[in-house]
Amino acid sequence: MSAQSLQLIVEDYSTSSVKAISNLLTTEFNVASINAVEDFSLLQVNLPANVSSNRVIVTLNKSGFGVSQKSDSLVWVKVDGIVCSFCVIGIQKKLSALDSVLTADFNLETGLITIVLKPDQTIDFDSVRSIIYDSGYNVKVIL
Amino acid sequence: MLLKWFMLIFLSLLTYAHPVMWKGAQDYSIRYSDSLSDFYAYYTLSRYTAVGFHVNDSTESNTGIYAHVNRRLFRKNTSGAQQNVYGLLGVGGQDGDPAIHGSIEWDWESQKYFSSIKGMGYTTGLTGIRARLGFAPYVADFSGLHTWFMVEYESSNSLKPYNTLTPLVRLFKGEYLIELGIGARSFLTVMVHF
Repeated sequence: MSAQSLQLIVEDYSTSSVKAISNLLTTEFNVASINAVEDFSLLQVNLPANVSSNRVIVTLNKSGFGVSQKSDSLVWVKVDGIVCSFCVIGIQKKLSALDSVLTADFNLETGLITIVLKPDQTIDFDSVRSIIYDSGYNVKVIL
Repeated sequence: MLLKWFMLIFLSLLTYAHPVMWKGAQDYSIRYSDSLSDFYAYYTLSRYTAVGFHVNDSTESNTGIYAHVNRRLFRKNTSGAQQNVYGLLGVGGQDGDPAIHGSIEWDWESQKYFSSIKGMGYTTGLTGIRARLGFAPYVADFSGLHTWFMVEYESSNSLKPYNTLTPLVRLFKGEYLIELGIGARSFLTVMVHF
């Protein structure tokens, strides 16, 4: 069996939280390689073949790290400048109105928008960028 | 009489000038005080520009109506904060008398703190300043009730010059916002947007 790749989204991303996660994964699962996408909460983890993704996610969440596995039905958008719901509720309405979108949720503290897609649907990232740009904000990263 | 109406318009502009929202947004607001009522309606054309109108009614004069163009001149988004500069141009009339005015406003806000200052002028020579400082006692989540405590300073060289300091509370949830200011110039503002 070969090593497997796991992409993790970290809700509360920071240098210290990534370091703590890295230490935990190394200690618990002998993970050799973790790459963090700069300024965003995505970790690329290369797991040993004998470690399941679910086990890693459960362990991290039990340890207090809010993580989830990136999947094709989830889109994560990092936006700077989001400070209040009254100013960005229009973004939520417009994203939710897209045919392929099931829900669009905001985390005001992290500036993270989580878009859940309907089954077997995809989304045009340029449409997302356009909606956010027209609202006065700029997409920092979209995954 | 002309000066009185100009003053009325000017005072109404002190109360509220709405910034630019998101493209396609409609927003409406009403502000009540013991001597003046204002109604504002805006439509945001782009991330930079909103247009609309303003109607006022006073216990001392007739109704006035004005067209507004509000332009976002500067925007800086950073992690957890934003900074804006807005410019407003208004043209209209009160009982047949023409009126033109302009204002420029700067604000900076985060999830916990708010600050703004606004300067405005009028073709009659009336000028004024309004500034706000505020803080949120807690940080609500996206769908929660948001609460802000602020203090508003106003100064005007109108026919009855004044300098006032008004504490106010701002509450908003979803599409609705309410502000209540208690002091020498008490007011209630209700705003909704779609």
